[in-house]
Amino acid sequence: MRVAITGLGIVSPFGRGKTAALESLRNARSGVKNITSIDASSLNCRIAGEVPADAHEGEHKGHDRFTRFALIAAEEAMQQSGDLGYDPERVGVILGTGLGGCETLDASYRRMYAEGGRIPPMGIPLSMYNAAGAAVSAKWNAKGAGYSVVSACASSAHAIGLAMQAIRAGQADAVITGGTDAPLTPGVIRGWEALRVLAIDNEHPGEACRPFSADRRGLVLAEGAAVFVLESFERAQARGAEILGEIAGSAATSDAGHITDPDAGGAARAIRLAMSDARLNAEDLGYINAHGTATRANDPTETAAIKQALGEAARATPVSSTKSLHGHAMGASGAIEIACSLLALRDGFLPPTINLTKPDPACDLDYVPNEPRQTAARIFLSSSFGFGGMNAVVACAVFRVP
Amino acid sequence: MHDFVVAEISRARNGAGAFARLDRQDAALGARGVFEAAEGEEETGAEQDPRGIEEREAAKHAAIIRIVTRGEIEEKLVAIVQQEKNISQDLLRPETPLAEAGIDSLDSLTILFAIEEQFHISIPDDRARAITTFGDLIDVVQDLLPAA
Repeated sequence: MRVAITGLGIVSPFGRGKTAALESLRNARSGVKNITSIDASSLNCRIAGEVPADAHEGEHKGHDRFTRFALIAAEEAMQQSGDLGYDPERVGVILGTGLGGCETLDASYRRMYAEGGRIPPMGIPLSMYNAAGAAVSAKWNAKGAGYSVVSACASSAHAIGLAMQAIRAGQADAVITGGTDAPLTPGVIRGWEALRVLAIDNEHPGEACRPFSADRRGLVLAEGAAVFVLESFERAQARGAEILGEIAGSAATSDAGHITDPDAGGAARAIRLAMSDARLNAEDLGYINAHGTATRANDPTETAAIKQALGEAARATPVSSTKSLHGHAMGASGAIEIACSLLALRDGFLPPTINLTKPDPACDLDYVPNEPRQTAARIFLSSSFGFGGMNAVVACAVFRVP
Repeated sequence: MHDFVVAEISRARNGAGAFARLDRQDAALGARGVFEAAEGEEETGAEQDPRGIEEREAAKHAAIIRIVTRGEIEEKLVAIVQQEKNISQDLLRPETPLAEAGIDSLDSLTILFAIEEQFHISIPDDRARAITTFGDLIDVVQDLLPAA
């Protein structure tokens, strides 16, 4: 059974909504800026892909920041899908998150440890990993399958794969899926600083994230959410919905190895399995949205994985990292990157890898450097590789804007 | 607002103007709102109370013997409930079950927390579970406040 995408919503460092994201991608405009949502003065790293305040402030009060992002993105997606008309018990919500309610946890523990205060009653319900999914289910009365998926930076890619499978298996008529994360708290940023993988360039935020470039310095943390409405292709067509694209296949693999060092073999298997699930050959691929974190470890390993999986076709396949533009939104990144790819390809261009100024011999594919490129590509893969060696790859097809 | 009496008690307890948050019209219902309000409260208190520790300790003894009337408690509780949940004052009569006023079990936890924080009392679980009406809530707070 084919699985259609009929709704897409995104709130990201580019701002709120599809148009803001598309404009930034088209103009290769970075969403990475100085952090303003928290007092970052005591941090070494004071830049991030932060969702601009005017994109979300004052909405969905009473929820954690990661839930508010999910609600805003889901609102846009559901509005685009229109009236689904399905039995609420046949509508599911499967969201991914890497870190859950960081804002609430950070504030709770600060109160308790630093200020001798008490944890408020909402500390647990607001911070739990499925809080965002629960809020989305409640808002749209989705009473079917509901759960949240956690696999570090691959969370939302896994979630979208599972949502596709739920539709294929006939477990749901529609699934609201995607991912959300809001990790920009002092504790989380300090934790990433300790891993020594952050690109700390506080003076030039937009140039900090340099995937596949020899002078790359690490990743830039980000936040946001992207949410999709998936339905069976036939039913979406029957109700006259506009079909934006389809989720054609997905795969999940584990490295079963090092907790932070990625393994090309595990990533390559995920790419091959996703192609096979979607019944695609390497030559069918028009684009790969890479995990592309801009860390020392990821970029050469991912390059090797793409070559392993695609063989000769790897050199002819454009690969880019939109993280260069929006940063690394942790568990939300898979969803945000599928959203960016879908928007760009529907509009007829490949999103670029910006800040790629110094070629690295270990990274020798076509990374669509610095400028968007016109394309007729319709079929793409999106790769997400999480700490713990957890890999998720999603295969998608795009329906061009008529 | 005749909140000076209770405010005196709370100031006596921790040297903070614990009701500063009641003046915040924009406080959100949930986490950030609660936390920000709580932080603001302490900061405000620290700034507004220029007295030294000894002076505050002396005030504490003066304050706890003040009489807090039931009417004053009720007024304060209405303000706290309305801070946490947008409910018309008409629904907050002593005989009204909280559930009928639209306050669910999770709401009551948040409200009890705010009451404990602001009155500087601790409401035991069994007393909290026995609360059905707004009047029950007033009773519990009245019992637990250091009265005359």
